[in-house]
Amino acid sequence: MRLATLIQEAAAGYYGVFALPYSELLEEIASQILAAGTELESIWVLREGDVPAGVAAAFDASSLAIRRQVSLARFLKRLPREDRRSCLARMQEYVAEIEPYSGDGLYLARVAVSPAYRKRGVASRLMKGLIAEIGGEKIALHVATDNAAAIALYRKLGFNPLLPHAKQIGLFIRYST
Amino acid sequence: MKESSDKTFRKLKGVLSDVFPDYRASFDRAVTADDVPGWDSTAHVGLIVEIEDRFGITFEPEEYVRFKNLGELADLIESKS
Repeated sequence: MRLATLIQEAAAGYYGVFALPYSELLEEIASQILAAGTELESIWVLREGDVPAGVAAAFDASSLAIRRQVSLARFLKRLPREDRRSCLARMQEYVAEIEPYSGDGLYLARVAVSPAYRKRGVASRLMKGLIAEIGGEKIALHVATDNAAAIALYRKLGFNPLLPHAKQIGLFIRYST
Repeated sequence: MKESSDKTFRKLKGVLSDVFPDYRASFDRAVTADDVPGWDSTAHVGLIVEIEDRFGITFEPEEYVRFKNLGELADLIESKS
C-alpha cells in the first residue's frame, strides 16, 4: 500500500478524475502494480532500508495507448454504471490537456518520491539508475508544465521539452546517448 | 473466425446506441471507430467495459484493438461468449 500511496500522490490529478473513495483508489492502484497490460506493470523501487523512498513505472512507449486504456478500464469497472459516463467525460477533458506521444523508446509513466525522502536526491538516483539500466535508450515522459522542481530535475538529466508547449501536461524527451 | 450471429450483432447495436447516443446513422458491420463522432480512445474504453458487462465477457489487453470494424468486434464477442 505504501507504493500505491506514493504513486497516487505522483499523479493525483489523473487519479482524481475517477472520484473514487480514497481507500478504493489505493486498492485499485495497488492491484495494478505488476499487473499485465497496465501502466504499472513494470516498476523500479529505490529503497532506504526496508522503506520505499521512491518508485518509477516505465514501459515500451509503443504500448502507451493500450496500457492507458487497460488501466482506465480497471478503474471504470470500480464505478457504479451510472457514474461511468461522467467519469469518461472528465477523462476526455483531462486527456485533452496532455501533449500526445506516439513515438518510440521507453515511456516513464510515474516518478514518485516519499514525502519523508524529498530533497535528498531520491528521484535523481532513481532516474539515473533507470537510465543506466536501459543503456541510455530514448526516454519520454509527461510532466505538468507548472511543476518547476520536476522539470529542473528532468532537464539536469538530459530531458528536453518537445515544443510547442500548448498543453498543461507537456512532453519531455531524453534522446539515446 | 466465423461471422457472428444476427443476435449478437443486434445486442451489440443496443450497446453502441447507449454509448454513442448522438450517432444518427445505422450501426452496420462495416462501421469503424472513425465513422462515429466521439469514439476516441477514452470513449473506446467505455464501450469495452459496457460490452464486458452486458455480454459477461472479459477482453484481454491485446483484444482492445483487435478489430477493424463492428463486424469484427461482434465476431470477437461471439468467440468469447
